[in-house]
Amino acid sequence: MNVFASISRLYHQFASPPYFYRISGLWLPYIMGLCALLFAYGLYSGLILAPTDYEQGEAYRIIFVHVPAAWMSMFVYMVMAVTGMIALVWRLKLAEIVMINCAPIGASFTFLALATGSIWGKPMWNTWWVWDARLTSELLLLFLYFGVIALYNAIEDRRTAARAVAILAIVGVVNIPIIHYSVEWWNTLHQGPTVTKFDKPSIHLSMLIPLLVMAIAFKLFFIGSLFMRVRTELLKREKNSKWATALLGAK
Amino acid sequence: MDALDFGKYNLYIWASYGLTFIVLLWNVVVPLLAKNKLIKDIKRRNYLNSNGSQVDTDNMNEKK
Repeated sequence: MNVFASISRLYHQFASPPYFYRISGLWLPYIMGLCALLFAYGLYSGLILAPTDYEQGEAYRIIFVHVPAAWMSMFVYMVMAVTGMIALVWRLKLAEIVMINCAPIGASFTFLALATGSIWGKPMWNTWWVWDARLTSELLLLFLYFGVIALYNAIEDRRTAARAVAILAIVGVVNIPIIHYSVEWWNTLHQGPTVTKFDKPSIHLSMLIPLLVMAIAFKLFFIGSLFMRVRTELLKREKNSKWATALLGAK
Repeated sequence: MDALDFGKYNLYIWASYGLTFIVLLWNVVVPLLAKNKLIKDIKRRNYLNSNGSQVDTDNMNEKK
């Protein structure tokens, strides 16, 4: 039995609009349900169980929303770039739809990371904003997302627009390592990494657990929100196809 | 609730968490509204077409 052939078949099956629509609809309630549970536990352990920080006092609790949002801002961009690559190479409609629907979600997470960072910066650094490497490169990420959305809307034909957006998304990936390593490459006001280090994370377990729980909750939320958007877009594009009319007729 | 009193950082913390809530809510409400609108549009088109008139109720500015 050829393994590649079966992987390829699975891949094409998953990428087919009716299959994806059906499966994502089955998964969606579980994803969002688990996400809600994790958010509830993350908030409880982050705001109530976790102890006060010896240096930053209570203010550090912003970390439990700021860091997951910032991680997701980069993760969503990578998903957008990878699906953009798939869209360019294999011309898969589903990949194009996933790619473009990542952009508003990613932009909202980037905005959240910048805004909560700013709110955190005021009591800790005594300023809302500084033009240092970490903050500036994250702001650039927000503009990249805006650029992707604007470019997609500027081109009439959806398939052409998706190809143009894919190229922009792939080129923009260069910004991701810059954001990640900015706190090491340059002297910045932003604190260094506390979790993603090769040696032991310099964060206590009682603070690390809520952070990771919130990070997983954010990730599930992204998948859920993305599925919702992608499903609607699939239905819109395929509304005259057999599966879509059958589905809508049954409702 | 003493456990949720963060002293002088109250405003900063609750502003951050409130903003997070708004962003998450936006990411659920916008797709839901889009879905409801689409289904309404399709049903309206099907209704008009079933009356015998071939009406294209698709948004004219919409990209094809």
